[in-house]
Parts: sequence; structure tokens; C-alpha cells
Amino acid sequence: MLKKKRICRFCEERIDYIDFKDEKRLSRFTTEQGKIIPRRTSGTCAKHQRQLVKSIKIARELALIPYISDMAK
Amino acid sequence: MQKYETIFIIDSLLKSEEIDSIINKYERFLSANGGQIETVERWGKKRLAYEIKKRQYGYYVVIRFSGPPTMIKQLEREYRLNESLLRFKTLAMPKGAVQAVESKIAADKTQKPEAAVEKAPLPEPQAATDVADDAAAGPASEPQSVESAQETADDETANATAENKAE
Repeated sequence: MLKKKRICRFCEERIDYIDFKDEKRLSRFTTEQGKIIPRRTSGTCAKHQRQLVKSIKIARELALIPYISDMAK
Repeated sequence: MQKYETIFIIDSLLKSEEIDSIINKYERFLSANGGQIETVERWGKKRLAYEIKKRQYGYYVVIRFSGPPTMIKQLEREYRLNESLLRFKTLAMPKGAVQAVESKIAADKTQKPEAAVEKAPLPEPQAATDVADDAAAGPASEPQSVESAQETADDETANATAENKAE
């Protein structure tokens, strides 16, 4: 079985800085429950995943994105 | 001087004059303590992702400024004394952030000077349903995410089977 190559979205778009205020983008990298999607599924590169995780956590503190949401019930 | 970005959430149940006075207060505080305010962004009333102090909504304000590092502690102390603030955060802006913001401002100016101000409050009413909407609207707007969604599902089933085997 051939694995499909997943390309880091941030590298594709040449984004150097992942803004914690950009909740729409951040929520795309969280599950419906609000969990952070792992690198192995999203395909984000290590460098950007580190930044992304930080930004998501900051955004959570500011109530921009939920820590947990029970949408998936 | 280091550039900072400070963001705070005011209780949106306050009157608009009170909100204005709070914002003014911090603007004055910053400039009185050797800071230079660059931009003040008012996101306006916005639904919180979760309740804070029994509030569903908050009034978001973002101020970007440069100043000496010593003033941050004082600023945060001022924040803490104010009970009508739901949340606050002050962050030093990394180089990338400064560039990103500057280029964004430049882009906004070339289009319409008012565009940035108008855009900010508009998407807010949708915030509540965003999670659900994203799931539905995501694949339609971006064909790529269909693939990734399927792959996610595949991975999950793969993980599940792996776990079952392990057990």
C-alpha cells in the first residue's frame, strides 16, 4: 500500500507566523471535540505544528476556541 | 523597543460608554508609562467559546504597542485590579508576527482603509455555530479537506483495529 503524501498547509501557503487570533484557521486543526489534530493526520510539518499548538493553546485561554465542546454527542 | 500585543475581554453587559472609558484608561496608561500605541483594534462583542464568570459574550480589544519590558508587570497588575475584565493577555510579538501584521495593514490600506474595521465584527454572530458549520462547509469550500477528512477516518479505524489486536 502506498501512503499518500500529506503536505503541510502552512508550508504550502508560505506562512511564517500562525496567529492565535485567527480562530477559523486554528479550528480547522482541531477535532469537533476541540482536540488538537496530530501531525500524523493533518500532515503539518514539525516546525509549524509546534507553533500551531502554541497558538491553539493561547486561543483557548482567550475563549476564542473551546477547550472541549460536546458537539459530537 | 520590544513590540507587544495585549488583548483583553471586557464584560459586554456594561454600557458602551463604560467600555469606552475602560479602553481609554488603558490607552492612557500605556502612553503614560513610556509605551507607544501603534494600533487599537476593537473586535466588538463576540461570543465566548466557553462561559467566563457566567458570561456568554465578551467585548474584545487588541492593542499593539511598543514599550519597555518593565511596564508589562504594571499593566497586568492594572488588569487584575479591574473586575469588569473577563480575560487579558499580553504577549511579546515575535518578528514573524510583526511582519505579518504590517503586511496585513498595508494590504488593508491598499484596498479600503475601513475594510479591516468592518470585517472584524461581522463574522462574530456565526462563531457559535462555527464548529458545526466548518464540518459542513469545509469540504465544499476546499476540495482538499474532503480527502483529509476521509484519511482521518481511515486512520482512526486503522488505530482502532490496531488497538483491538493489541488487546
